Amino acid sequence: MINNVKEIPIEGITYKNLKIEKEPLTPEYTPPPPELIPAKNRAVCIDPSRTCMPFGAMWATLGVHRAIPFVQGAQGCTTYVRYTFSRVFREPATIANASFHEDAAVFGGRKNLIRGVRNLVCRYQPELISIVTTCSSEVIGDDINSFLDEAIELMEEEMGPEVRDAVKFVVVNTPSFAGSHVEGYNRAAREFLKTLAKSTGQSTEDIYFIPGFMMPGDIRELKHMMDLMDVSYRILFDISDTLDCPLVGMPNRIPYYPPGGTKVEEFVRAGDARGLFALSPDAGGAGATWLERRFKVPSRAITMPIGVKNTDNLIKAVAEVAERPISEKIRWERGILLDAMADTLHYTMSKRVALCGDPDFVAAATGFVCELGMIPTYILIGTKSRTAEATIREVCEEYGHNPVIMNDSDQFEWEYALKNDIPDVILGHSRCVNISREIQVPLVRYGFPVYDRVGFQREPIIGYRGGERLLARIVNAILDYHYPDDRTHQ
Amino acid sequence: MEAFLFSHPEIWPQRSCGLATEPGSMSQRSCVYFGARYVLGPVREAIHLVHGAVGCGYYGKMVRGTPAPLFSTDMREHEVIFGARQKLYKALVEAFALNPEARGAFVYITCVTGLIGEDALTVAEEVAQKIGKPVKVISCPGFSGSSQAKGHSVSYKALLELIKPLPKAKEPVVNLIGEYNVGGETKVLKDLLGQIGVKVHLSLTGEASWSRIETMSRARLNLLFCGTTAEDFCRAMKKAFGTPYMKVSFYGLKSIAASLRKIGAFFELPETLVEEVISHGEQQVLAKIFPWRRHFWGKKALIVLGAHRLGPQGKMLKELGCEVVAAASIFGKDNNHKEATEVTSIVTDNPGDHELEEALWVFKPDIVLTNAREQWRPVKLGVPVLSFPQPKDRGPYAGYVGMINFARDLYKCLNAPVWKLLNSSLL
Repeated sequence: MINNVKEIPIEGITYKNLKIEKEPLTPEYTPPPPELIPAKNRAVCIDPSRTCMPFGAMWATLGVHRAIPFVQGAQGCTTYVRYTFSRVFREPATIANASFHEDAAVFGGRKNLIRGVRNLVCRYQPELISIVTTCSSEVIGDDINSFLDEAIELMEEEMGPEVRDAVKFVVVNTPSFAGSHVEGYNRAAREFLKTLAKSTGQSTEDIYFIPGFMMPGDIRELKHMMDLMDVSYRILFDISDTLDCPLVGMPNRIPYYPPGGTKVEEFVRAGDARGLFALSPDAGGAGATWLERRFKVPSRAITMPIGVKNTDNLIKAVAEVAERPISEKIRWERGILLDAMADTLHYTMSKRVALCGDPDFVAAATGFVCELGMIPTYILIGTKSRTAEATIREVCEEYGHNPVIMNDSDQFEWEYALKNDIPDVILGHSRCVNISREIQVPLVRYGFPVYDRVGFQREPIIGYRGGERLLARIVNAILDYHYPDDRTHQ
Repeated sequence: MEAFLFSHPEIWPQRSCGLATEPGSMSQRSCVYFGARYVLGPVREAIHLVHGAVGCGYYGKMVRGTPAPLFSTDMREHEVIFGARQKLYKALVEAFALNPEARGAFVYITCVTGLIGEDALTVAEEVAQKIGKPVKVISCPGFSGSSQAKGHSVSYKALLELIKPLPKAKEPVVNLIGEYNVGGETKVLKDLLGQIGVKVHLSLTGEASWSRIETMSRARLNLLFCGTTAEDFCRAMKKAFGTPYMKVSFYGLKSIAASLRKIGAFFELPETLVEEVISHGEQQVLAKIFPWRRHFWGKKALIVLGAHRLGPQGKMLKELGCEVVAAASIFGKDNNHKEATEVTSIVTDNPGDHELEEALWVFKPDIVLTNAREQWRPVKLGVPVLSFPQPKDRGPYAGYVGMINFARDLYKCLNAPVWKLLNSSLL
């Protein structure tokens, strides 16, 4: 396929482009039974492209200034998550745990929550604690709200009313068996607004954004665009200055808290916002719906601004709500992206691409690859999505493509499809490395999680400038794989 | 009073570590399921089925570097309410159909299934009868112990049940117990033992497969590397199959030499051969690390590592000339801490983030050895970190090759120009 490398048969294996160093377990390759390929026929789940719900709630909480998620569950529920954060962001993530042991499973987590909250308040002086429940606390039926009332009462008694007033609490119910990390974020967005947002009746100029699983670089790009639009904005769950901070050495006081994050007051004032945009319909859409219903704040969930059309939609919507003209500088950036697309159309046109990832990323990226003239073939939406499939269908219909969309499936089904119908390029996360190596197709990393390459959390993929970066990533990956090194531009 | 207690160790409070974790302490400990996955993760020729919610299946794959494929039942809400017996049965049968070469299966019980009281044992029996292959249920709900150490012990017990009695091999064959192939250590150890003429049957679980585990009783000696639970396993193996075991360590020059001599003496190998391997290896290491040694002298190190690594890594640092200011284990037992007292006088158990930050504040170490999950906290406070387990590209730290790798990585950490730039002010 690539430079006409011939198939190398290893011990009788007729497996397309099998890598040589790959050691086969059996003497010959046995294909899986065909009836077990589609995920819906199987009880067993292999390589899910989604993780558990508390993760999303923890992600959201880490975007709040001096906030600590308190995970009401066993220790593993935080260890794995902290490991994920440390791999993706290379930053410390402060996450507390209720340390469920056997006694908690039998007698309930009341003692753990009360003691845990007390310890946190004494030692870390946080401004906000989010109680994130897990499978175990949900199954044993912990009455979190009454535990929390008791904890707050004890705190007031011990440390005085000013400490009690200084710390806010948000409860997010996230049993892993009821959804995925995307739903966890969604619930956190709703619960934070529900618990904190107030309305004074005096509308402000601020436009609010719920970014979803955008990386720090994306959020910075969003801020940049809003600055160009001259719009007054607030970003909820702003991880850009909590999970991507400068190295400055030993701080003046410990415990270390990152400087950034959304302030609690910004949540409080969300009820008076001029408008709210959830930039990931599946991760944060619930927050938008709730705010609109409760405070009549015009709220909208729109597709993540990846690519030309999606970014156009965001800019137009913001201009409309904020009543601002679209600035020349934004048009300039758009022009640069269009120029980059025109420059590289020979590499991107008619390339077949397979996509994998979280619903919001996949839905938006499909729009972008269609704009690049690529043909989406197999699309895996990692977790069951209400909106992503319709969004993808709509954009593919517009461009006349008919991809196979796997909603709420696992990577096994998607990878098998790819093995039998090899695409030219894969857009996916770090867990797609195996399949990309196996079928020798370039992998363009984007979305969550990317942990095997550095700097991806700082490089934006949203907006016009981000689109230009993502385009460069795609084209460079194709060039690396499909063209000999120096003869391309002669 | 303290002096009195030190001189009378029998009245010294013995259970000072391994206690339950204080909620909200930001402990680095993990759950029992994590421990079970850590030990069993890379066992080949086996089906690994996680019976629980999707998160456990997702994260279970990232515990060890090269895990075998992982299946999960991906339990949903209604299955938590009504039980997932049927689903587990179906999932197991399907997993066997997808992996016909598997010789058996491990079913991991997680928090959810532990709490709803899923009767996985009878399902396992039914499937074992239908398929004709053994199915082991690993009872490791996350909450069922105070740290991952419990998971290690549960999985070693399960492994013990797989072993079949076999006659002992003629040639010197050993098993490596509690060796986890961190950064490719198994290959280094195999090479080193091969040099003195000792063959390795398997490494639990650095390089293990179901069939190798079944036949591991043919080895003449078990080499015990890491962990209290692994020692229990060795003891049980000695009782059941008469395989003697020997505690060894391949971290640091002194330990390597002592271990090689011990193994040589056991198999009555020619002494000259063993000594030659030792002197050759040591020469190689010394020649390589000689130019770096002035960078290590008197540097203060802080160690926060799992359990067994405290002592060995501390000794390696000492051999290179560093000073260990304090050591803390995450889930260690008494014997781990005792070993650590040989390298430092301040030893503690289960530090949280706050304690770690305070230690950095108080001790002002030049380098921190800690696990990969917590490596960025000291870095953010301006202290270089040598993380463990190290990524594959940094290579193993065991054996003579490992000593060179360790010194090289230490040199890199300490001497990166970034730390100087951090302390120099902007114009």
